[in-house]
Amino acid sequence: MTGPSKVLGLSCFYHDAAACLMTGGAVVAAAQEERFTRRKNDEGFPIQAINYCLQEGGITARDLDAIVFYEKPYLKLSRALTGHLRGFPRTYASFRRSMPRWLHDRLTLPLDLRSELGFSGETYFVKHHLAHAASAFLPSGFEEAAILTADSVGEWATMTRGRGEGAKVRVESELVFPDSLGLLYSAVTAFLGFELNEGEGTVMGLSAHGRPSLLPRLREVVTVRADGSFALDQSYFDFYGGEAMHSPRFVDAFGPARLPGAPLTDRDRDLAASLQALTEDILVRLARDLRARTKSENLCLAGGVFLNCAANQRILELSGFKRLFVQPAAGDAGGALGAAAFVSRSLWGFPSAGAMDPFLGPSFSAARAKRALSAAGLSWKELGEDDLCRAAAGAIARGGVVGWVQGRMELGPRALGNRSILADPRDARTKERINAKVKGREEFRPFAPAVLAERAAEFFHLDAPSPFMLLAPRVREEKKASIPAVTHADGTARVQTVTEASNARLHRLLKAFDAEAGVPVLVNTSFNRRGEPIVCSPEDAVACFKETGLDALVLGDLFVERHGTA
Amino acid sequence: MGLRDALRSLRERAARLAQAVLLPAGLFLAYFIGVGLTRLLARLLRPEVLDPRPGPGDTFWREAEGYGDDEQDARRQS
Repeated sequence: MTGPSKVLGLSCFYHDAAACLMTGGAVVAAAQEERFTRRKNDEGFPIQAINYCLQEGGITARDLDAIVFYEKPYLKLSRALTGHLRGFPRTYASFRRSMPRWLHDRLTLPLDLRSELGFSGETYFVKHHLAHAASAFLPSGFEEAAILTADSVGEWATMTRGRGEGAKVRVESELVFPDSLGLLYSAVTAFLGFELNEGEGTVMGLSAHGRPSLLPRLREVVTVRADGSFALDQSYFDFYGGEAMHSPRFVDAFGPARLPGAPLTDRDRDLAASLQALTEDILVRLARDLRARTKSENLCLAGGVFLNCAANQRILELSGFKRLFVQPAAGDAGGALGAAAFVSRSLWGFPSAGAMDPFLGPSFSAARAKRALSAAGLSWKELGEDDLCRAAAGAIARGGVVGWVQGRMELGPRALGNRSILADPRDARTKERINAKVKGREEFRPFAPAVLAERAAEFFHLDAPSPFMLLAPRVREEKKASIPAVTHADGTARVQTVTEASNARLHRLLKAFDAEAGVPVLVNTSFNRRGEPIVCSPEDAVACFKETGLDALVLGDLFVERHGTA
Repeated sequence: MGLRDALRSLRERAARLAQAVLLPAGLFLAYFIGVGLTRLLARLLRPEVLDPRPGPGDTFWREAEGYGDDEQDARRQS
């Protein structure tokens, strides 16, 4: 095929800036800017991620045929200005803050691409939720599917439904701002004293510790139709520039907001449980209705709301769809991939290059890893794969918490075995050990298991693959005692199923751990400290190893034990 | 410091001063006159813009518009 073939997808200026390079229908590289700048959820222009993608593709910006942005900026500006109109005069402070950014960056992107990158090709703009829909369907491996997207807000849309067929993605209907499930979840997250765009997962974890006793009251806030579509009663919220996202009426209904760091109360736990129950109810209704309308057996999901693995599990169990694909970078970072995939496949007609591979980020050489270790004064053993996996499995089985860095970095918020911290799931104290040594998370938050895919059904009520850790099936009753460190308070676990094809080395490590400890399961959590992005380079991993209490570090074939410090 | 450097320094300071004064003043006017007047007009002519209410039907879904799949559409920023 001749004609244009190289396209760079970009997402930025809100949160989770990212870049993705596709050539001829195949994803060459994709990464989030935060991994390079080391600023969590970095929203700035992703120049380092772009440079990485171009380098990985062996090209410069001048070789690109097109750059595609994951939003339509003028539409988004119209929504922002409408917000100022509705919130006048309270929105003056946010108007002053945001308008210079609009004028400086967001409305001048084509010019900036030319001046900053020397790019002279075509610039495209794909609607935010179309980018999400494309990121959900095009890499799913399905020939046809129903598509559901949901997040806080794109330009105006907060949720869309549609269909995918072949290389075509069709968005058929939408819900628009301010009726947003993502904003509702974020508003309650902030009300409960957790950080916006970061603490939503914490609230999901907290929900398992409460009872949905506030669900009736929460239903007064949200009107839900039989098809799952909904409207928020705006008198409970302040989405237009107030200090908080909730209004005084929300406080009247649910009591005072929890201050960050304050002790958690039963009210907080119950509100989290009620919010989660309402979210699941809405999403299951939406998915059931979509199943009835489309008759498809396949459902593709994307948008930040679908990082909610408990809700995804309910959709799989109750909606009638037989197969589910959730984009691993379901949040805005995946928008870069979706925008690029839309141009490459839907506009230019390139065929699919296969199902989603999340390992799209930078790799590293053994020489670089050795340099990083030497510079930090650490000694290492270089081992063959079998010996390496045996050594790591042994360290983990002895109670060690091990940093595990292999090959290309994952795209999306989950570490899937290439930038992971691994530990023993058999000991209930593992959670405290990981938190004390490196993660520092709230004690109520669970850790997730990676399991050999062929053995997953022995441990979990799971009959579908969960390669991206985006489903949370129940742990089998008889297995709860054998993997307490990954069994959440409600008896579920956020499972990652690992096949030899998806991650050969992690698969081998799980087998080695099974031989050593008798369970083909490992605790798998992202390799980072609280508040930091996941490590990207060997230098990041070594720095984290040095500054925390990790017991061992594996960098490619190099094995480093804490007592090996020079 | 030569005359050229002094002039450049002066120019830079003037630009910083203009940015520090003119931008906030411009934004103030744009907000309180532009947004404020538009709000007043909207309240008189299109109050539903300021206070959107969900429709009475049995669904809140609305038909999606502007999700075209041709290059012409993809070139548009709006």
